[in-house]
Amino acid sequence: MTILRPLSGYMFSLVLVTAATVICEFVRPYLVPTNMIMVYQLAVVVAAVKLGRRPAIATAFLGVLAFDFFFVPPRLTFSVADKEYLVTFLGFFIVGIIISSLVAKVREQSVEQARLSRQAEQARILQAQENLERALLNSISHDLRTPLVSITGALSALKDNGEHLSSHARRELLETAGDEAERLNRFVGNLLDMTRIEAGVIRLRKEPCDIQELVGCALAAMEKRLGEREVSVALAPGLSLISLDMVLMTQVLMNLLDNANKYSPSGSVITVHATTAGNCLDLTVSDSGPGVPPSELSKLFDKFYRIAVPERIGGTGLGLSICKGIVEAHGGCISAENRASGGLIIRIQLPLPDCCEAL
Amino acid sequence: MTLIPSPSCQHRVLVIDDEAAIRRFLHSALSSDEFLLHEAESGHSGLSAVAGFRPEVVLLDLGLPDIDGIEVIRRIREWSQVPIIVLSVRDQEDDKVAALDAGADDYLTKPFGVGELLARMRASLRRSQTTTPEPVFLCGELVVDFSLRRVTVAETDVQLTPTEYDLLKLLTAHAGKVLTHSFILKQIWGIAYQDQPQILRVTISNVRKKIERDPARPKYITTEPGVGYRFKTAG
Repeated sequence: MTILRPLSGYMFSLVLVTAATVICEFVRPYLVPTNMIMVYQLAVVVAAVKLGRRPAIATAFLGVLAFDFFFVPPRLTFSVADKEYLVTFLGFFIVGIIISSLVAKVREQSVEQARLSRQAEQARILQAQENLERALLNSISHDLRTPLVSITGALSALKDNGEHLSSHARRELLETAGDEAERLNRFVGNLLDMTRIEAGVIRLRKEPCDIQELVGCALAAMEKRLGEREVSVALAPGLSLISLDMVLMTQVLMNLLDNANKYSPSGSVITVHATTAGNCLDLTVSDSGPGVPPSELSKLFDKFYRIAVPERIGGTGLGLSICKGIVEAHGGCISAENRASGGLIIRIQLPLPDCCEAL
Repeated sequence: MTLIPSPSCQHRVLVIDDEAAIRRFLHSALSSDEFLLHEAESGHSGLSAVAGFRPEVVLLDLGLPDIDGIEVIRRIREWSQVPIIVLSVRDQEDDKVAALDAGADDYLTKPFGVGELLARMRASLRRSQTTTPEPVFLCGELVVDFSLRRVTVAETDVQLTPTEYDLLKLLTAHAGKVLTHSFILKQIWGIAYQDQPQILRVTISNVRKKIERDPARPKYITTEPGVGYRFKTAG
């Protein structure tokens, strides 16, 4: 197999020489034979650029033979009447070799350069991947350990020193441990979801769903975390049932409500809005928080992306990328935009049955 | 002070779970004069304990080393109607539905709080002890008078279609218990409709519009995503 490539190179030099010969035959009435050698020189240059040094030299050699045979009087013999042509042959051949060498060198250099830049690019990607993985690992171990530190601390305080603590302090420690255990549970759940989405093993159990019911489930599951927060629900009347995985979609809405709750002032209203737009269901969750700088909007759904905020807000940076994975598994899309009046809107668009029929 | 167990008023609870840590947690959490605990660490020992210990409530982990939890439920149900509460982890909606359809009464998703566990256990005990249904069902502002087929919310009459009424009646008759989609469909519409969940969705939505103050935040009929519906009882 490897021999085929050089062979095909030499075959191509033969083709080039034949082409040069045909051209020379056409222009023979107008040109003296010495000038025809330029056409062959051109073939050598083409061979050098396209095929490399050896096929170029072969082209030069074949070119001399063809030129001699077809055009140098007496024609159609290899004999040469005018011995000056021998100088032409020699000059052509030497120029051919020099050209091929120079062109081949340039070619090799550029190939080498491409190889080097490819290697550099690969090294850069590898480095970036390594950095990302290290960052992920740091982030994961941090998020796993932080609640464990609080839980272990609170429990050991109660176990070793419980009798000296006030009932208020005991209560506080217990509540901390409980809240942190819940946080840990959510984080582990998020990690599992993310792993499943990334492994492509997310299995949808689609069933016809009522959007109001979906919103209701998410609100009920978030009841404790939302506390006194006002959530305004505005659903367009007459929304049809839509086929989706209720459990996963509830998870999506919960994540969006959780973000809106975390990243907007505690007194402000969160709005859930659903309507039909074209052949899609358009579902938005909006808050009145600081929004996101326009350049960051697209990064919002990246894994482990966290918006830079002055005070550290406990989040895993997984919520929105999980949402993206789930929404996309449903054939829908999710996007973020800033509200004109301030705040962030997360928009989910899901294809409605009519939409699929139209396709 | 020591509590002397008085068998007459203590409820016998059987825990079937292979995780020692969870048995230990349940043991401490349920140790009171209200409950008498028996622990089994496998399906087989659990099944024989159902016969020997005669529990009033069974707490069953689905992931047992020897027999599948669903199979344990089926074997218990062959001869006993003891309330079974399944302990399962998140993302096992299929298992929850299978467990409920096999005859389990309720499920709790791990990790769960003791308050939630006690509420479910007490609700199961209550249901198993009441044999004759009350003629009038009361919950918050909702009153369902079965003898008159009359439903009122905050003393205002609610007009339900016969199907909506049947659905509400079924849910209130099993108040506190999760009813799976296929169970409800079979009961209300018949076996032919078992694979037509949309009809159930629409009817639930209509009932909610008529009895709930805010149908987006239902207080009476709650949805268990991927599993079914539960008529929520106070407490």
